[in-house]
Formats: sequence, structure tokens, C-alpha cells
Amino acid sequence: MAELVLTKHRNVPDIERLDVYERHGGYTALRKALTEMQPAQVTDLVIKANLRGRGGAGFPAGRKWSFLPKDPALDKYLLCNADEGTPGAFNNRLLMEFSPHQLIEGCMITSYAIGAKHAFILIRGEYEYARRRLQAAVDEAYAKGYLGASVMGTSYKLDMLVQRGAGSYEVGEETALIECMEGSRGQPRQRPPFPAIKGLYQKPTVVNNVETLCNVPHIVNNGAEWFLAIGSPSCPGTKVFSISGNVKNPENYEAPMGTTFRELIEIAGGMQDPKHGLKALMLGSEPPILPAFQQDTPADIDAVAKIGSALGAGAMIVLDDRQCIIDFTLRATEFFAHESCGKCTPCREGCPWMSKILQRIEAGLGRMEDIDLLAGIANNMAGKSLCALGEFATGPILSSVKYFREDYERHISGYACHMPRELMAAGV
Amino acid sequence: MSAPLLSEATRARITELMGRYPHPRSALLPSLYLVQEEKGFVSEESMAEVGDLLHLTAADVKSVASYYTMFAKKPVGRHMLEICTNLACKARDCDSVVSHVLKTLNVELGGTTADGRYTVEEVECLGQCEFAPMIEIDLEPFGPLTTPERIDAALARYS
Repeated sequence: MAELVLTKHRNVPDIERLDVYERHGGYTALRKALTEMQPAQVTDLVIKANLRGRGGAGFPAGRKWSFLPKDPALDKYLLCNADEGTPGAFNNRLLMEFSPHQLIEGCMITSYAIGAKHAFILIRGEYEYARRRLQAAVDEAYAKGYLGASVMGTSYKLDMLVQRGAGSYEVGEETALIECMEGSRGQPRQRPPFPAIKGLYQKPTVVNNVETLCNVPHIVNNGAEWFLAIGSPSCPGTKVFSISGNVKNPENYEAPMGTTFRELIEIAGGMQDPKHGLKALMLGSEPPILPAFQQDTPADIDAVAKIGSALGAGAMIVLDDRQCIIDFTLRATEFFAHESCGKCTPCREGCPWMSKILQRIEAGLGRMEDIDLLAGIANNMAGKSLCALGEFATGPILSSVKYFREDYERHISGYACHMPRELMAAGV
Repeated sequence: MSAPLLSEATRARITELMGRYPHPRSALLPSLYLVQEEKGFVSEESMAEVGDLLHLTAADVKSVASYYTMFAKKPVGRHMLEICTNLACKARDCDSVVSHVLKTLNVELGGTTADGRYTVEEVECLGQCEFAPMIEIDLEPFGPLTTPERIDAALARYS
């Protein structure tokens, strides 16, 4: 059984409390960083460990930190992205609920590394239970003197604040997250400038995902070589996979990066109904859909990119052969139409347009030319908006047309999802 | 000038919040939550008042409030009932949950029950997919709602 890192203490009662967290090794890494390491050494360690962002972009965390200007007189900020919104992703929620101090410690070490005196955790508004746990943990950390004017009695000072989002998927995009934190509409900004140069309040800012930050204390405690020995060579460490849909035991499961999707389905108890085999995997609503024949792909950032999809935040919605791919593609597209912030024309107009075409096809009013029309609209959107949402909206559509074209043709010819081929051929 | 709409306590909390951030505008979303806590929703007048406190125009406050789905812009029922119909819940038959809830409460999606108990909305993924198909009532999750009895038990928890 592979080593658990982030969820090792999942079943320890009361690990959300500071005293219990410390009894299990918590805050050792922070003390070590503060008393034995210079900030630049912490950054170098995380670069060496090759910790890649766990929120979806997979950008090396330490390298991102190194982009910040070094002038100590400048105000710098850490903004933790706790606005988990990818459909099917619920690993951040688990991490914040069961071990808020793990995240706080990760935030504190990172803040020290980048020279930030303020750290903000922007948590999606719907995660009320997690927010309460986080807030209680922050209060405990202040009471113990771990946050505030003198962290653990050193000259480093750090304030931390938990900020509540208010319902918007787009806010999970890093510049939209910054806008939300500033008290504005959560719409993305033009980049450059990047947040490392001009971010929160136009100051140098690091935005990192919850799971990325939770890895930091473990890397400080155990070293880069230890981290590199887990997972895939170019994508080390573990991933907390959120496995849902037609599996026996939907749940979060931590496994080394590079575990195959087939293996992950087994870890989740196998298919929900043994009579219904795997049809496709949706790694969230954004990445291209994986047809069943790709299930032996290793689940790491690079291997999944190589087959034309994206690991994303680690969501895995398992669809068996009872499910209609057109129906799920429609639902994903409607999600994007709903969540589009409206700033850019290709996304604002393209998402509802594609939804309407799919709705017609689902209702039996499709035309054969709709398939190429969908692909045409999608190609006019991909890469042509200010943020990735416009591109994400094309993922399920382009991949379903590519791998499940037959299902489209069948719908448009007026047949229901599971009409057997022989009856179609007989012109029934 | 008319009397303030918001209570002295809420106004004081908003003012205190402004001092917690490097820039006081960051207090806007938390302030809107405070208004919603006190009044049940955010009205045009209360948004104008928040603007006064934060030195923002009413239009600016309204522009921000309108962007975020969790601020109710009109009065709602005593409890918010949200049904997830996104991908993971869809794979676990959320359609049956929707039809049972609407039939039992005699309400449409987006509507409020006649007795004012529930406002029922269809929502996007709530990140509780291990409990699919699921609902939240006042942000408390209930699931897996695989039988009508389980749905009824959740509905009965709030009055």
C-alpha cells in the first residue's frame, strides 16, 4: 500500500485541533523553516522537490514563488485558492475539513518563503463546515502565538484571514480570485502583468491551491529526495483523487501520481453495477472526456496531457454504459454557460449557443450538420478568451464529437441512446 | 436624510471589518453577508447603505452583489434548499430527487413554497460528490438521497 502523505491522519480523532495536530508532528516543519532555513532556502527546496500545482495548471510551485521581487520593503501576499469549483472535485474540501492546520502550516511556510506578512484563504461560499473548521484553527493559531506579531517567538510576523466567496465558479481562476478578494466582480484580468508582479491590491502575490500548500510542510520535514521518490518522475508526490459517479464507493482517495485510472476505479470499489461497464471518464467538466479504452493511462499531469486531456484538480466522474454522453456533454456545457462571467464574447456567446444546439439534439430535433457546427463554434472559442473557461467549455464537446460521433449520429437519426445497431440498420 | 435601514450592530460590524484589510473594499463581500444575515436578502436600499459605509457608489455595490449567486436579491423562504444536478449527481439519478422534491413541496425550481418554508433552487456542483445524489438545506448537506424516504427525512428537518 502506497504511503499516504496528506490524508495519513484522516482517521485520527480531533486532528482539526492544534494540540492533536502537534502531537502528530504538526508545526514541526514551520519551526524548522523559521529557525533553520532562510526564506530563499525554503523556495529552493520546493523547486528541487518539483511540487507541481495541484489545482489544475500544474505549474511548479517553487518556480512561481521565485518570480516575486526580492525587495523586502515591498508588500507581498499569499492568496490560497480554496474556491474549489471543478465539478466532481471535492479533495480540497476534505483537506480543509479534516486537517485545517495542515493547510495553515503550509500557508505559513509559504508566506515565510515569499516574504509575505499577510495570507488570505479565499474559500468558496458553499463550504460552510470547512470554513468554520478553518476559522477555528486560525483562532487557535493566533492564541498559541503561531500567527500574529511574532510567529513562534521569532521576528517574523504574519496575519492570516479566511475570506468567504459568494457563489461563482469563475472565481477559482487566479486573477478572478484576486478580484473577488479585493471586493469586486470575480472576472479575470489581462495577463501580463502576472500576479507575482502585480496581484492582490496590485502587489506581488502568490496564488496557490489548497492541496499544493498542504504538501509544503511534508517537503520541509522529509526533504526533496523523499518527495521525488513518490509518484511519477516528472510529476512527483501524491494526488488526492476525488472519485465519484458509477463506482461502488465514491470518495476521496490519495494515491501516488501516475496510478492508472483503471487502478483508481478499483480503489473506489470497482464499477457501481458489475452488469454495466465503463463507458467514459470525465475528469471534471473541463478536460476532454476519456473514453474507456484510455483507462490504463497513468493519472499524472504529463501522461494525461499526452493523450490530449488534462488531470485538472483530480476529479474523476466515472460513467458506465447506462449514461448518455450527449446528455453529459450538454450538462457540462450548460454549466459553463451558467458560470461564464460574460467578459469575453467568444465564451459569453459560444457557451449558450452550444448548449442550445445540444438541447435540440437531446430533444430529437438535431440535424446532421449540427455536429460540425458544434465543433466549429468550439474551435472559434478555444484559446480566444481572457481565461481558460472559454477553452474548458470546448473540452467535452470536441472530445465527445471525436470519440462518440456515433452517439451524436444516432440521436440525430431519431434513435434513443441504446438502440441496438441491428434495429437501426433495419430502418426501425 | 432617512433613518438607516441596517441595525446599529450591523453597521458597527461593517465598520470594524473595513479595518481588517489592507484595502477596505475587501470588506464588501463580508458586509453583504452581514446584510443578508440581518434582513434575509440584500435590497437596493441596503446596498446603497453599504456603499455609504464603504465609500462606494450604490451602482458599484449592486454590480458586485449581482455577480454572486449566494446573495439573494429578493426575499426568500425561511430556508434555502439547493439541489445539485451537475455531473456526479446526474450519474447517480438526481432527476428523481428533483421530481420528488418539487412534487412533495408543490413548488417549481426557483420558487418558494406557499408556506414560506423553502426556496428551492437547482445548483451547480457543491463538492459533496461522495454523497450523490445530494441536496443542501441552509448549506447543510444531505445524501445519498437514493430513496423518497431519505429525501422526506431531510425535508422534515426544517420548519
